Amino acid sequence: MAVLDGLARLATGVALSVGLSVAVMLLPGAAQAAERLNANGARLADAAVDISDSVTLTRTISLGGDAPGAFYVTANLPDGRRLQRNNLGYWVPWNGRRASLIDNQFAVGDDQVTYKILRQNIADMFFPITITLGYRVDGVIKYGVFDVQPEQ
Amino acid sequence: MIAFARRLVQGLRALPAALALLMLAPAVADAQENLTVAEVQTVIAQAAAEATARGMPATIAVTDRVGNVLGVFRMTGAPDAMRVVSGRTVGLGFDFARFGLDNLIVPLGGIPAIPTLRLVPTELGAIAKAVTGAYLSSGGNAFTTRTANQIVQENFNVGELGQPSGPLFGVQFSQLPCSDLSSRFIGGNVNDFIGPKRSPLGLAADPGGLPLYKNGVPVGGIGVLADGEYGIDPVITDVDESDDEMIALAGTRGFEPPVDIMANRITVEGKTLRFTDKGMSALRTDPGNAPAFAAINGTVGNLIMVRGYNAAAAIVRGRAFGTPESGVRPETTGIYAPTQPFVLVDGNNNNRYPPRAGTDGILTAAEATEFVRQALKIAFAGRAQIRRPLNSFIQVTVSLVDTNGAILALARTPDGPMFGTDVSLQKARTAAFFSNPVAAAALRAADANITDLGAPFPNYARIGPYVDAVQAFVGPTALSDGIAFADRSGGNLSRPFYPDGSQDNQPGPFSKPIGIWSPFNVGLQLDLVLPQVVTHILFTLGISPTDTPVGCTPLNPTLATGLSQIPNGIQIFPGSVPVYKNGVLAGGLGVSGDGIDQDDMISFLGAHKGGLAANTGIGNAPANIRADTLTPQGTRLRYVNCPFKPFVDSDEQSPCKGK
Repeated sequence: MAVLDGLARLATGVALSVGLSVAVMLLPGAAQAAERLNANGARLADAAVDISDSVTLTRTISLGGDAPGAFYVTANLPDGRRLQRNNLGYWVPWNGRRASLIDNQFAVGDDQVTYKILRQNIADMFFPITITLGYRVDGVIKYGVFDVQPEQ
Repeated sequence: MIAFARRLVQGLRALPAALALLMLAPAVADAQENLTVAEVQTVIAQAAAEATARGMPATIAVTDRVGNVLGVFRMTGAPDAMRVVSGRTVGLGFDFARFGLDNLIVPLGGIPAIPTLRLVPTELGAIAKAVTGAYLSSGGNAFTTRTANQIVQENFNVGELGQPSGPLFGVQFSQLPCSDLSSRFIGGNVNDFIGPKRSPLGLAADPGGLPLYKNGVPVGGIGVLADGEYGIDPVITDVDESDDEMIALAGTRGFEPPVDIMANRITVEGKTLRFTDKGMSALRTDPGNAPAFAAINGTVGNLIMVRGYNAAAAIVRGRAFGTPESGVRPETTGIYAPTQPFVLVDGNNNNRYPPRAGTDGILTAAEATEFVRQALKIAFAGRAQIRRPLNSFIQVTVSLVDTNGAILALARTPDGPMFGTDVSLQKARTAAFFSNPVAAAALRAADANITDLGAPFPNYARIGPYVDAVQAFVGPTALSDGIAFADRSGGNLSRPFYPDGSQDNQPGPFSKPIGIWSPFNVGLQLDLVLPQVVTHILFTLGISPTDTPVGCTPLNPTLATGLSQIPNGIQIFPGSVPVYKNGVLAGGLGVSGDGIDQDDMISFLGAHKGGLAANTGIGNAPANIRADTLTPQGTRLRYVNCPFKPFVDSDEQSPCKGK
């Protein structure tokens, strides 16, 4: 039974309940409703996406009482590109430096923020894509990371 | 007359220089060749016939030169699982976390039903062997997994007590399935056949993995697993008749390397390398008369799909190395002129790693270019250690990273062995990371991110104790005081004896003690990546619904990259230096593909000459902060070791001295 428990922790996929137009699974492990960011870089649940159609990907993050001043979404691709999402929803090159991060101006409600990440066809991207979500609070950037992988 | 003779000698000496200059613009390293579907079928059929003759049904994998899996064939009755075992006394029970990969087990079956336990799938071993044969070889050298076996153990040669470790000690933990550099097969994606591909278990040292050639051009590798064990050969003074090796050898008939570049024609430190223990004459079949593939497919065995490596139980053609569809092609914009290296490209033929400025704001793109350009120039001028014919220039990959581990530039000489791509990046990152004052804290913090599988599996090894050990061994500020660690320095601390080869001495602080050390249980290098390797194995079995994430280690990700500073694992054999700008750590320059002294020289002189060319304060670490200022346990750490008289176009004897 302990084997089952251990592997269940590893393997259980939790269906993402908000904001998806195609099947997306969050994997593995962490309690999805309580995902938080931190100043060291939290490991968030990975997302498995069906890339045969347009992908809409959002992620809701608990703020834990933080009152962020700015929100950031960046991506690191295996083809070497480093990108960030701007507040209009476009992905633009990013040099990796904090000073050049663009505030996505997401709305906060109920001590949570929902990051809009993708709404496009990504079938021709180089996978996995590593997504970083962040917000600035009290002069610190708290952030978390997850991979977007195609369902296989 | 004397003057004439002198001019003649000078002229002859200048000839290699002229050749080297020509080689700065090697338009094509080799003719472009690839394996066709029919040829892959032939390779498999020849191997299967030999396996049948030996009564050893096998799993046979074929890859192309950049690691694409072209076909995997499992014969009826072949073991579907294998023991990962070194044959040493360390493989106790099922304790894979304590004992590395030795006796690694993973569950069989899906969630929630787990009917039995079994070992690692044989197809992963076969693929790892094929990748190894392909990746270690080039147009100038043909190496096998038996060659690998010879150069990754604690003594070189194996069994020669008192001798230092193998020159590629640690290379087995490269090309990992979690590497951010090595690409993955997705299925239906434009990047599906872009190389270099990952290997499910890293590189193999178990005989039975050989390279494949067409018309003298490397086109891939074959890997065979028939005996149910994925191990090493701890005794090389005898001549084995390994079934795995003989079956693979049969598969290579018609696809053999040129005799002159086989490992047994190449020496390292005066020791001749091994290709195979026995040759074609020991085969029990004539591969040329093997039944056609169509006659055995579905009867003798079947093609199989391997999750994460191919789309179906089918054979696909190989990609010709050097063409965009292989993911490796000539650089065409002239950014590294006068050299004309190869670069990695994506499925849209875009250079994946053109020179970029550092994410930490230290190095500019121009400085990154200069580091790599100068390193390439050293390679093109240097005399290769592992290549035939003698006096060939050096073939390597050069990687430059910043302090976050972000890739600032990557380029390679045209015919560098593929393994050096991922390894050069590992080396660059290892030097940058271990020279960074954040290293100790970052390693300690990693333990909070390690998740054990739960009983009955033992817990994974923790990383913090290695920091305790190195600070007790080197000094209380180790890895937090900004001492510059070349990969040779960190490698000194990663051997099961310190100093290396001193058989009665204690281990280095990053190594397991010799009593539980094996090539599958080395210490920090493996413990940093083992959880992700296990996750990947579970994925291939269908137990884990998604693959291992990008980034091999449990270290916290940086904001700049979303990855840790060492996301394809660390490397512990020489060939990199940290680089600095006006005395401030700026990153690491890593080189891999030739002898370790050659790799050392290219990184060290590349950093030095890059600094001279850029004239912006970049270059090597100040001498007073290099690791060779330290004498832990009374023995001085090494920094780099450059070969004597290393250039084909110059009589210069000690080019690194005083720099």
